[in-house]
Amino acid sequence: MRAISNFFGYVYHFLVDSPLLAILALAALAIAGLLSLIGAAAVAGWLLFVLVGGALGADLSRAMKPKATK
Amino acid sequence: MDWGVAIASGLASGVEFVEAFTIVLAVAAGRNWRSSLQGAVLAIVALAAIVAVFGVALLRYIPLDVLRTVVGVFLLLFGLKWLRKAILRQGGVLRMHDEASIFAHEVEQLKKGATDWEGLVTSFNGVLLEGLEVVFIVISLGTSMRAFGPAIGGAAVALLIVLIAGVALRSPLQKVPENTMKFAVGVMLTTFGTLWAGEGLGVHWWDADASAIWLLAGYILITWGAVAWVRARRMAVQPARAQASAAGGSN
Repeated sequence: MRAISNFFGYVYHFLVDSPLLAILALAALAIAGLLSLIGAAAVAGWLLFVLVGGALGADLSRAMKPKATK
Repeated sequence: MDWGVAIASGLASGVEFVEAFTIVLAVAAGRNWRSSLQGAVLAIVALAAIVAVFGVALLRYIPLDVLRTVVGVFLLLFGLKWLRKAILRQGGVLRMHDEASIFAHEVEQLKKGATDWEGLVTSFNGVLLEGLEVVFIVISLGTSMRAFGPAIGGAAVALLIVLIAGVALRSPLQKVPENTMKFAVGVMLTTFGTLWAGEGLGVHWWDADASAIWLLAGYILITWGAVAWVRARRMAVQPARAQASAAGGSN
């Protein structure tokens, strides 16, 4: 059990620096996949690009927010 | 000699070889050559084993869309991770890497024989996926036109041309500053990740594989815009912080 948890922890840190960015990117892929399923595969490409760009923008925006100081 | 099959196989395989080689070069320049080449060689060995086991029946057993999705998601997450860091560094939020200390660290790692696993796995995935696509092209053209020789010959010539171009590009690439290279690698991995994961999920790209060019251009524009925004934002935040700390200090 511990080995499995270590493995997934390793994979997570290997791929992800910012959880928000990873979640938004995966959500963008899920939306594109759903659009393809319902027959809007041509629009899905454009939307995927826009959503991935938007995910990066949203994550950078959060990273640039001034943190509350004590 | 069926020249039509040879040319079709060469052109189609050439596109896949260029994609695979771009990733190998990008990983080599962004991480190190050793791990990138190790990943590429391991992928070639895996490909040879897959072809030896399945032969022509490969088309029926390997679900290419699933493989594209898995590799695409991996490359997209990895590419975005690199791109984010490069933008924050270029924007002055994160410290730039000290090239001299990185070089010393790399030399130390090489002496120890250490492997950069991130580089190795990225290179392995790219070469395995693109290599499988080349195998599919060769098998499809070879079986449908009953011309395996020309199909294999066309792909082999395309590989040779891409390898020669890659070797020629190697030394100019090594002169590019590290953070610029991180940008390039991040943008390229994000581009291929978007393209392949999208394809795997059933997205119809406007110009098939050539859409990579539009995606690349789009991500470069987004990256430039992001760096400019991060710089402007940092400039705006810094004086406010300085004022706040000065006010706090005087109390």
